[in-house]
Amino acid sequence: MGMRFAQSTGMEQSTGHRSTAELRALDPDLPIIAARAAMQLDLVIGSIQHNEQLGQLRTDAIKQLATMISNLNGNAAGGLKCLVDPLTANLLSKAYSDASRAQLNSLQELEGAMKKLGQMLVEASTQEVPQQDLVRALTLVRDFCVKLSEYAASKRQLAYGEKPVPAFRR
Amino acid sequence: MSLLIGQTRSKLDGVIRTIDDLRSLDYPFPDPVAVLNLIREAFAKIRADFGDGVEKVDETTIKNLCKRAQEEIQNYLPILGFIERSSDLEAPVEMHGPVARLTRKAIQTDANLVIFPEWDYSPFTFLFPELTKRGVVVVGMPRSESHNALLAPLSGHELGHNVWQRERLTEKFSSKAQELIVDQITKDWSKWKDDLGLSAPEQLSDLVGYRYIEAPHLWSIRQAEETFCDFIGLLIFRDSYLHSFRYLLTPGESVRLTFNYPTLKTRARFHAGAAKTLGIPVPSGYEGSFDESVDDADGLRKQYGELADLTCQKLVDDLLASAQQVVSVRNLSAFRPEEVARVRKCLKMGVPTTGTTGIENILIGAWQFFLEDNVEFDANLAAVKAGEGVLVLNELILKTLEVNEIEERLRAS
Repeated sequence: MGMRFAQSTGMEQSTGHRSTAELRALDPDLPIIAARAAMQLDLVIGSIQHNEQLGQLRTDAIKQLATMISNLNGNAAGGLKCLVDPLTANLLSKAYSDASRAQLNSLQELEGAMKKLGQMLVEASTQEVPQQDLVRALTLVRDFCVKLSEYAASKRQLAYGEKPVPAFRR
Repeated sequence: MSLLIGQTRSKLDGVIRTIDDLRSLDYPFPDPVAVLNLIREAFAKIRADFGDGVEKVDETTIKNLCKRAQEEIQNYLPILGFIERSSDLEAPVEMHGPVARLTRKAIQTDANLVIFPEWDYSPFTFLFPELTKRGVVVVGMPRSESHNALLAPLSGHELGHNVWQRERLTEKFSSKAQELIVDQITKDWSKWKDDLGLSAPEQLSDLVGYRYIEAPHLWSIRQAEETFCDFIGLLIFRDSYLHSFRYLLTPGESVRLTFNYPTLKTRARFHAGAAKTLGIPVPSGYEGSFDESVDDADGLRKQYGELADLTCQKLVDDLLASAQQVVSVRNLSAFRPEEVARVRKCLKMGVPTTGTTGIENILIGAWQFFLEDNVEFDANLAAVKAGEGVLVLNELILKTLEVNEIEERLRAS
């Protein structure tokens, strides 16, 4: 008896209503949300580079991801250590390291990096980023989102892909 | 890039077209169409990502989005086939009403249930985020047993997955499992130190050590979920869950392919322990009827697997308590011994029982009649031919479920 595809890892309260959307590695929505956020960020970057108006751009996925990352830190005294499981911490660390080419060595460093990323996502979603020097910063966030999307999809496979198949199936 | 974008649009349009075709089929219940509408919404949202302006997006970013879109198609296509096959009237439609009512109590009042036979031996559930959020429960039962009403208790396990998600139980058990794993490795540090690239066990509690506990942590949580789901089935369907579990899964698998589940023998041990605690009768020789499967894992994978097994075992009492709480708060069990006895008596007389209050009483009574009365109908029931007792029993169970459904609908109206 089994389960196909992913389970959501904590997006629902017992009442059935979504309340605090924290980022979790096995959240089945994460790969597509991060992919959408990356696309929306890329359009923001393109508009800044071409001095275009940002008003018409969609930023819903950026906002959603910003909230998910902000909720990672929460207000818990223990910071990320209290709030993030090993799989999520490893996922975030790997995505960040690949995008920034900077190695993170502790949960404290990861927490700092996520705070900065969350802030940049909020700024991008409110479209208050006309300065040219922000392009490089937003490019890092976009690359982080792409990596996050890829790695979250692979973790999903790791977690739910192991399923007995009939011996004769190829 | 425009070629890839165009092809992705075409693939997404194909899915939406397929969903529209499926919506026009005749289904015995409204649930499949409601589920199709939700899936269509999800794909329309993905399709909207590929609207005007997407050609301007950076290559890596758009490729990633195309990959995600394709994965969503791969993920959802089987469920579309599943829904298409749910229009098959060969399925035991009598089961739908009572199980759907149980689902609505467990998940939410407007939940949709698709429960139909599938070409897969092991029962399973699909947990699609866009669907589970909105109370959709999809349960597949093996086609070759589609007319075996005695297996209905297994739907309790699949319902358990949806409850686990609904109650955010991964979060509840995650930190406890992590703590247990770190404690265990620390305790056995001499055994682990050569395999882990760490200088001290304290590092297991920081990022540098997290990568070493990721696999056992994940496996232990998955095992915990499966165990919880078994307890939900056990608490609702009591000994009839154990009978149907044993029927379908003994003598067990040859090889243990995944650590996402405890072994069948371990699960049986958990069932027996929980049943004893709850005062539920355990079938004679229950644990012994499952063989231990061969475990061909070696090295660190084997160590991690053993660690996950041990962690899950330590969580069993808490898992049972959580399952008990859900079943009690949501009033999921209508078990009444006198009703079970009445069902058993009616089956013996060859008539469907009226006035039943729960599917569980019907199934418990049916299993008792099957195993304890050896399907011996009343001597005056000449219509039952020799060798056809089980067939007749099955029809009687389905008829009783149907009567229960009619009575419930009349009560509701």
